[in-house]
Amino acid sequence: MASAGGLHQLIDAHYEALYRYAYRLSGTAADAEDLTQEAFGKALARLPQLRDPERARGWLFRILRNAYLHKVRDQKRHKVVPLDAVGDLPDRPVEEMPEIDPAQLQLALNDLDETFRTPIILFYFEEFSYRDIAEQMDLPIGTVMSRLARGKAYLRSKLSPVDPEQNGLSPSLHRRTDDAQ
Amino acid sequence: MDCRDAQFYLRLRRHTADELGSELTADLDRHVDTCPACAMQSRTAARFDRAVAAAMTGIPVPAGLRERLVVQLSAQRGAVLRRKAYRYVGVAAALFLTVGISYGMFWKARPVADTTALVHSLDRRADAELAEADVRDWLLAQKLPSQLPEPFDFRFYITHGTEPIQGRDVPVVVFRDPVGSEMAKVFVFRDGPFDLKAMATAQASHWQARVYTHEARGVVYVIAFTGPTLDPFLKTGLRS
Repeated sequence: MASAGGLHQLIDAHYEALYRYAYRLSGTAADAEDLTQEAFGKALARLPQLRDPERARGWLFRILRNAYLHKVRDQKRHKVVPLDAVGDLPDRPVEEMPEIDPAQLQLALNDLDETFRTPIILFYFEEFSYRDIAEQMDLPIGTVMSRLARGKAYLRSKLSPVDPEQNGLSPSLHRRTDDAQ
Repeated sequence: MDCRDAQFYLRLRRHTADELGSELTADLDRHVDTCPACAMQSRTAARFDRAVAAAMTGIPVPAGLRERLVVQLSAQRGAVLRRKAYRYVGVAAALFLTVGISYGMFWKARPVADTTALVHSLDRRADAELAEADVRDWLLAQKLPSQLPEPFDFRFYITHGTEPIQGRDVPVVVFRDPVGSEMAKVFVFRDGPFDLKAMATAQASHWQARVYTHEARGVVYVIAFTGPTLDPFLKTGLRS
């Protein structure tokens, strides 16, 4: 059992990052707070398993993701974009990239299946290497990179400035529309 | 590296810490330096990544979340500690009860020291007939023949019991001649704990041993005694 001081240190060092991760996974502030509390609660019970305090953040993120997966397992799954089926989506060069609205980003993330969403979130948190992400998700590093490439291409199709020549449709959606014809 | 590969790797390239490896990164850089389309793609990817990273982490953390976490975890920690403490107290109480009950049972089961029974028992030993009857009963209880190999006079009887001989307990009846202060012991050796085949009479400075092999099946008697003969211990008229 951790001392009260050690527990406070763990909270102070990681609760903000953990909350943000939970928010990006679940999409709502209420769920994010619940998940953060649940993750810390489980971490407290399993604290003796944490051998290396340097790896506390990765360990906490993993606990939180498992809690999230457990929570959504029995919920009715919302419809997600089937990235596996569409192959590599092309990138469209843009000269200027305006700021991205965090809410818009969340909507785009919500479209993605968790298996694509998690590596994207961890990638942009900048604290996790591809190897860390692969360990978090129990996946080969090549699979992580492939999912990242597809997930990022999808985000660009949703979040990049609209090309007036394409009537407001993103290139990927054009391509999918064309494929369907 | 062609444009297709370059575009794939540009999506994976991290602009804060490159993890593609030095060789692949060098290949990619060489291609980007010579390909205006991929150079544009690289700049676009970098701008996009910066914009998404800013939006990704730009989530306001609710006010008071830290305090709520501290309260919740402190309560949980307290509950865990209490559960542990209750468990230890429970185990200690159970142990205390078990030891207490066992000790109480032992304490209650102790016999009352009975001086009346003691003097009656000594009286029986002083009475030759009663002593002989007691020894007979004891021998039978040991599953041994009730008769000793010689007609001992039980007025000289002292005690009976077992004595360790070569690490094994051997039944023995003890007599003492009150006049000459001589002593006789009748040992009953069983077949099993001992090899009885080669037993023979023996003589030492004060003691001598006489062996009786055919008195009963599976049993050999050894009478060890001091003094010149066994006669002082035997009933008058039956002496050998």
